Amino acid sequence: MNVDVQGSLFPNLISMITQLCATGLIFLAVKKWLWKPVRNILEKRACAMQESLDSAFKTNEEAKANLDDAKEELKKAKKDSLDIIAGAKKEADALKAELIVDAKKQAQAKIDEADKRIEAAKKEMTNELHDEIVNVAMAAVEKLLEEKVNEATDRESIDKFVKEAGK
Amino acid sequence: MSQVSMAYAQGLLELAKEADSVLSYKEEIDQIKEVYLQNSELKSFFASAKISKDTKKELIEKAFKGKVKVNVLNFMKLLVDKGRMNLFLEIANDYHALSNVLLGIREGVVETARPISEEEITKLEKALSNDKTVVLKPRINETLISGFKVIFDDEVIDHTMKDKLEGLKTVLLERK
Repeated sequence: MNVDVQGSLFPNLISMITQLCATGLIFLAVKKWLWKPVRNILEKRACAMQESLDSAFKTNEEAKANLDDAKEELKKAKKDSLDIIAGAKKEADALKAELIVDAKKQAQAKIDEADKRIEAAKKEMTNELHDEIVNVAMAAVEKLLEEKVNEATDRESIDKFVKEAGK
Repeated sequence: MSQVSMAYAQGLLELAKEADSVLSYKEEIDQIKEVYLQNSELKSFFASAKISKDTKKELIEKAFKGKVKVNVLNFMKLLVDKGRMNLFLEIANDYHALSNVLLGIREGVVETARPISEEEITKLEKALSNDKTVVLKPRINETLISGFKVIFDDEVIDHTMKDKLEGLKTVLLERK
């Protein structure tokens, strides 16, 4: 077979031009009829996608903001709870200290009272003993004196009185 | 005393003053009082409504005539008449007190642990008498140990050992 290789390889001018015109026609037709709608469609799609993206972005931002707020709240709550616990602990400690002081005071008061009672009892016993001694001693003195007195002593005291009165 | 007994006593005193026998009347009334006290039946006798006044007055006459002055006798009879014999003891005591005041006599008791002689009593009486004449009746009080104690209505003069001991005791028993 003898095929025109050279002729097949290199472009034929008329074909080339016809091809170009046909392409050109197609191009124009497309441009006129298909370009805008397609572009619209593409634009719409791009818009929609953009919108989606934007809304997604916004939602993301909002979510982030919420998360931050929530984190803040959590931090605050944690701090508050710590404060409450600290406050309660302080109160409990103060109460404990007060109770201890009271208990100590009461114990001391009881001891003091007991001491006072002991002192009073001691004093009473001392007084009673003292009185006993005095009474016994006086009775003994009386007995002794009775031995030593008689009519003469009676007379003496009368005479003494009479003499004093006479002065 | 009561108003009535005082009235009678004063009446008797006036009589006594007129007769200048206040002291002797006093002694006689005291004697009658002694008899009255020693014979308890007398009180019921004079109080009895069954016995007539005359019988009562007769008794007085028989018992005391010649022993007491006429006025005193009549005074007793008067008491029977007035139905006041129940007041006799009171009247006697009142007269005794009134006459003492009039005579300037102050009566007291002298207590000693043992009996003392008349001489001693007189010495005391003399020593105690100033504006009033003191008359002391002796009494034994064994608790006095030694010394004497003169008791008047309004005064006590204590020179006894017992008193000194009691005083000492009080001081010793004093609480600080």
